[in-house]
Amino acid sequence: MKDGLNFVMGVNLVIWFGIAFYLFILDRRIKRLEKTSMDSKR
Amino acid sequence: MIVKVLLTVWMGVVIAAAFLYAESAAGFPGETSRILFFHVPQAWVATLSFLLSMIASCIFLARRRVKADHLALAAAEMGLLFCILATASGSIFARATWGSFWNWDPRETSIVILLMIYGAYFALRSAVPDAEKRRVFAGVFSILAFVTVPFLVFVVPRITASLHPENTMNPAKPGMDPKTLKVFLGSLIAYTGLFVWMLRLKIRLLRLEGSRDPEIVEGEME
Repeated sequence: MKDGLNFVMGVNLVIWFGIAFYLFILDRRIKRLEKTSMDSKR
Repeated sequence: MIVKVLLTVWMGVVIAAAFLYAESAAGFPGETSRILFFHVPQAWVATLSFLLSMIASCIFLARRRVKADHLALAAAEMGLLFCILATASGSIFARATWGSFWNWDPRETSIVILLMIYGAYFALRSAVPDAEKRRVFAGVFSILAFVTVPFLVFVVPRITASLHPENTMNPAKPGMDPKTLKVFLGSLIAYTGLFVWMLRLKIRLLRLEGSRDPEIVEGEME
């Protein structure tokens, strides 16, 4: 296992978990907006 | 929620396995063959998105359901995004193996044409102010755009001499290392899951925008 490969894997993992974290936050925000929209319709 | 957490972990495992478990293929400089686990699933998701956009457009044109138009738009957007990612990752591979980021290889040229066609889809959507007309035009355009996909993705690069390592890394061909195949299939599943997650987010967002002000923003790209 080359050192460079470890680094690339680390960068890939950091980027992926960053994207996943962003998607989770986005999901929660959209859910909140949907709830507000539903409440205002009622 | 559980599915999303599982997908997050699954993708992490796939990334780790791509570097720690799978072995690099012979005949490629250094570790460049590992791009297979990222580049090919990106291209697969792009093709799947364009297909989904075309099917949703057909449904919209037949039944005039706004939901179908939302799906067509969201799928086209995901398709364009993953197509750009596949082009970028392929370009990095090209630099490492062929010495240049861009070589105007048949595969590269056809992907540029595809990007331009789907770029035009969004240009068309933003150019038509009337919501109903916009949806109809975009639906027809999406169907016509998809007609070119099989030619540009599968036919053109295969009937012309190409630098693209098709035969060496195509999983359908016998001889792929079992470890590589496992990680590759795992990556295909992970990317497809990611695509579904992002697609659903985009559709929910379009629905919210539509309910807020249907005439101005419904179905439009941000």
